[in-house]
Amino acid sequence: MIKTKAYAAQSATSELAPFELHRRSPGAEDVQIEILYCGVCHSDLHTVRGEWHNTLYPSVPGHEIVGRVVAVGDKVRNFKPGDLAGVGCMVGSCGHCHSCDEGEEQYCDNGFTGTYNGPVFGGENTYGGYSQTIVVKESFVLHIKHAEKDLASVAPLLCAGITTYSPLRHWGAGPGKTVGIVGLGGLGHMAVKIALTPWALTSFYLPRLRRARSKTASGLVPMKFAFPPIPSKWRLMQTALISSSTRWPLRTIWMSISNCSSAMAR
Amino acid sequence: MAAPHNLDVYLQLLKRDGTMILVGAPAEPHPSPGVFNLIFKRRQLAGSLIGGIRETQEMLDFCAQHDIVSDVEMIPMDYINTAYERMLRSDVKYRFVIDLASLK
Repeated sequence: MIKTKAYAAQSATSELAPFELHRRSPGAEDVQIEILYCGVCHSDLHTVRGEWHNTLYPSVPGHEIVGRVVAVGDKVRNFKPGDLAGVGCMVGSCGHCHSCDEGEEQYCDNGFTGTYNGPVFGGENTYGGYSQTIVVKESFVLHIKHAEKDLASVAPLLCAGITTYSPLRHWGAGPGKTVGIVGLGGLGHMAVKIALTPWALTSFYLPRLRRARSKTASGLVPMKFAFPPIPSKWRLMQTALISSSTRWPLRTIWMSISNCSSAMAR
Repeated sequence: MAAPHNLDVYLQLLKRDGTMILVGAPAEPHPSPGVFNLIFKRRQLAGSLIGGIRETQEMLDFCAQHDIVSDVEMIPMDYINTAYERMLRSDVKYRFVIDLASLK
């Protein structure tokens, strides 16, 4: 067992405070990671405050983990000590249902094991990234290819990044499409960045939506950015909204993905 | 998280066959949209949950290739309770990140 310093909440009404926990020693398929940075997701707050009514206490949240591999088990093939690695919202799943077979472990028919707050259907609690060390099965550890100097800024990708990337991909955001994003917070700003990649976007508009007064976006303010020319592929105009609202004021970003024959000055 | 908001207002911005995807997880039951807003333009209201491991790796590789990172404010571990209060006021651009070196 590996003694690890952490921060935990002992109840829904107590603040996070120093806590000591024990991680399992790496088994044959495990990767032990020294945690360098951990992003703070609003899910952490929902969990420690018991707002989803399923919290196991003491609760150690944190599922946007980046760090360095310090030890690996005998059967680990893809990681070695010294590698930069990340852990997101899952540390396990059943591995044999339809969803797991298709690489969609988050939809595991038997419930995935969360990085914190344990398996959905009961069982031993799991402790997340507000800690010095974590031990995770290799198949749930991710490679980080960003430069090490950017590591802290990479951490939020492990939840905010994938949560916005996945629907953009699944619903086919790309040239010829318009994407709207409701709310500019942890997820919203990642959705903007991911959709605003050189292959996707040439311009976007930042409107202020007057809720309760108008039913359509008003006051569109065109904001043009420079992007390399993008060949137009699809003329289908499909509008997708990704909702990750923050509180007032709500801001909606409409991004028009279209072709552009020349770059515009930033 | 998702602040409760009026889905109908946003659904009505969608063209025919448009899709609204919810990724914010509210703490209380969320009001449903009006049915006609979906029927009359064949719109879709959908949800999405993180991504699988393969897709998460694809996303990380994609972000590394395109220099995409998050805008963060670094904090020591013992700032976390203050950070939560600021998060509730949307007072962060746009993600707190804990420097675990501060956890001694």
